[in-house]
Amino acid sequence: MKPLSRNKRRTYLYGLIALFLICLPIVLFFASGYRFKFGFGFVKTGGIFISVPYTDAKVFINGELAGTSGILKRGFYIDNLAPSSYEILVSRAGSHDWLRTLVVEENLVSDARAFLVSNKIEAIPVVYGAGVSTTTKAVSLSQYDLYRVAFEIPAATSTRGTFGESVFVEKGDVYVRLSDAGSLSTSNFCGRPSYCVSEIPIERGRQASVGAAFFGGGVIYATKERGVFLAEADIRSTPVLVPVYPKPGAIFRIIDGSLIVKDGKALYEIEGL
Amino acid sequence: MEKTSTYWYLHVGRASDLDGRDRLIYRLFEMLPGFLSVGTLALFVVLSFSRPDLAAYLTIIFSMYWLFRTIYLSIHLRYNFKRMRHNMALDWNARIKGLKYEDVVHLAIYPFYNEAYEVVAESMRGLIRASWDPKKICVVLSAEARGGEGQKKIAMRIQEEFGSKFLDFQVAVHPADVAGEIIGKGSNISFAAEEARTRILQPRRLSYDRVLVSALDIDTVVYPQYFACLTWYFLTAENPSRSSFQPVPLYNNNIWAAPMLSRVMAYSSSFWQMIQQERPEKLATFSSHAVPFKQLYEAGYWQKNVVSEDSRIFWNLFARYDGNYEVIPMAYPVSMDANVAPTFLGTTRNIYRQHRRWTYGAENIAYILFTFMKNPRIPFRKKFRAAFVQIEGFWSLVTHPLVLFAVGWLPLLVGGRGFNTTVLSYNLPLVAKVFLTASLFGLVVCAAIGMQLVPARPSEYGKWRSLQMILQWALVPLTMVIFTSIPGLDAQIRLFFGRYLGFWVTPKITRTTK
Repeated sequence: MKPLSRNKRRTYLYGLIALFLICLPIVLFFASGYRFKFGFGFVKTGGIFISVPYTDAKVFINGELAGTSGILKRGFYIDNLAPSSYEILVSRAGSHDWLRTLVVEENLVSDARAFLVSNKIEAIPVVYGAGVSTTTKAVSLSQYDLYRVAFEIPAATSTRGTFGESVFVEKGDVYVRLSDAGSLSTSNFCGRPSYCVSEIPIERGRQASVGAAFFGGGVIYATKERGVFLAEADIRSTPVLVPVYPKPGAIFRIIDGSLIVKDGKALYEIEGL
Repeated sequence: MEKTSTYWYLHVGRASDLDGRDRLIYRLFEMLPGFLSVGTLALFVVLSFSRPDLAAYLTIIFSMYWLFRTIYLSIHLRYNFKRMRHNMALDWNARIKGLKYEDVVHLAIYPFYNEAYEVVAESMRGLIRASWDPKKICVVLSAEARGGEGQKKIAMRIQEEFGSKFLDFQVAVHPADVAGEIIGKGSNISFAAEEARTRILQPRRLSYDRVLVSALDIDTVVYPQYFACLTWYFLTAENPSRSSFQPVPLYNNNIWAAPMLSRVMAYSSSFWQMIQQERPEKLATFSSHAVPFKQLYEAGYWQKNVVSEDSRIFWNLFARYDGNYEVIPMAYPVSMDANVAPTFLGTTRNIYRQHRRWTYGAENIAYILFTFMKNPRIPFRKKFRAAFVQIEGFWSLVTHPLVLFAVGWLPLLVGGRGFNTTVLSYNLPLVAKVFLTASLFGLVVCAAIGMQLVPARPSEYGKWRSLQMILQWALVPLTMVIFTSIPGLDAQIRLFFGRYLGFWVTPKITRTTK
């Protein structure tokens, strides 16, 4: 049996080189977002990426089901989209629907992280001593005192988040700001992929906010007039806003990872967030 | 180094052997492989920060190239496997009947150091089992004086036990600390070759051009038709006096006892050699190989001052005969030991060191470029081709796996938001994954061929062990980076900084299967 002949080897080599050279521009154009459309030739497309850190959530784009999240399926990338606005809906049983309008631009991807808030947010009264009811939360006296003292200390006017952003309360308004615009790593500051801001207004209006902090993936804040709310920090349209304890005068503190609300003299722990 | 003969540069080992301008040039050549490999990786890192889009395109191109290369190489591998099986089934003794082979004498040289009696004895038994008249085989067993009395005793015991079966059997003891030599196989085997000349070839008046030297690692067990096959190739070669002969190194001696990692590396090495067998213009001698004594003598034997004497001897001969020298692939195997140490960590360390030694073959690049510069009789086309093949080979060995499985993904981490919002950044993993996944078919080819090359399963191992022989191929992406690219880079960086590597003897410990 003779070694592989030079002619055969050349045929394989030149054949593969030819195939490589033919495929190369196609692959590179495809990877960059170019698509061929009959009648239009090569067009630039964009994409959408939705991160869904929950299981069993349905993702719709312009009313069409794009998929359902699972343990292994936490991200949805939809490419080949013409530049335009797209309505994204993420729904899950037991949670508020999450709606977002995303602008797709040429060769760019609009991304967002679904923020699903339970529709069963409960304020459980905190009492001290032995538990007397399943509808209250019993803590030790020292723990209860700890909670009370926490409310005697004025709330911080700013707290820092995970990605270099901070939440501020200024003149009764609540903002989330980037300390360094160059460190922008999340798209919630961007109205569209190519246009970003460094400040997201959370509550800016007639109400007077008295405190705000990052909690449960969003911003928790309290106003004198309406109580405690949870808002999503996102510059794009229809960010989530959920009443947590909507009673005038209620204030909150985050103690040991729990959200505690004070209404008059009563303390409540918020569950469901 | 004295420049008295035409080929005064033939045994240059490193830049420090030279002086003046030659020294500087050789030093720059030594730095070249490291410069190219580190430069490529650094370019990727710099681009990942400054132009992540370009780095991403390069990664996609690399992954696509990887697929096409896998297809191309798999064709060669599969063909060589078929040819090797065909050759193993042939009766080579019958084939050489019509040729003038009676006066061909085989000289088998076994340098050894610290290996146990059983390892040496099994190699001798292999010679006797071969279907070739042992009275036409001379053996030189060359111990190292550094190995102490124990080594000499093993050599003498082997001589007593097996010596009378061969035409001649000599024990040589390579002295320690000879000026101009580095500790290693090259100095020992070169010494043994000269011992063979003065103690066997001259007294027996054997014609140098009818003596074929098989330079065999001490753990090399020849397959039955090795000598007949080698003789046939020698006698039918277009230019036998300008040819070396390369069998396929399999690591079957202890393959069932070797851990998974070691098996993958062993077969990967064998498969690479099988691929090269179908690309003889890219083939240099490696590990156990054969060469006519006359040419070996004229070239001054193997170099005593380099680590990669097995491949260097080809380049010595290539330069000595002005580019008119080739390696003829035999497509016939010899069997050696896979790397096995008493502990898994020890095996891992040994594999790393062994592959660093092998990839230290990049030291040949400086030698090749230097001799090409000094030898105007080698045609430019041959020079260019040989240099390109070697440089590209050592460059791709180090850079491709590291790009595909490490730095190629850097743009996603450091590209910043400007890059991370592009369609390209999202498509980079998707597109590269398609090509890399498609390339996995190469592993399927490897697994299929590996299963057919492996010897019969010893009774002490169950079916699970056989299944592991297939599953082990999933380790390839890891082994390519950890035991090919990184030791290769290590070796090239050492060359770059002039921190020359010494010879490291792979311990031969286990021999349980044949």
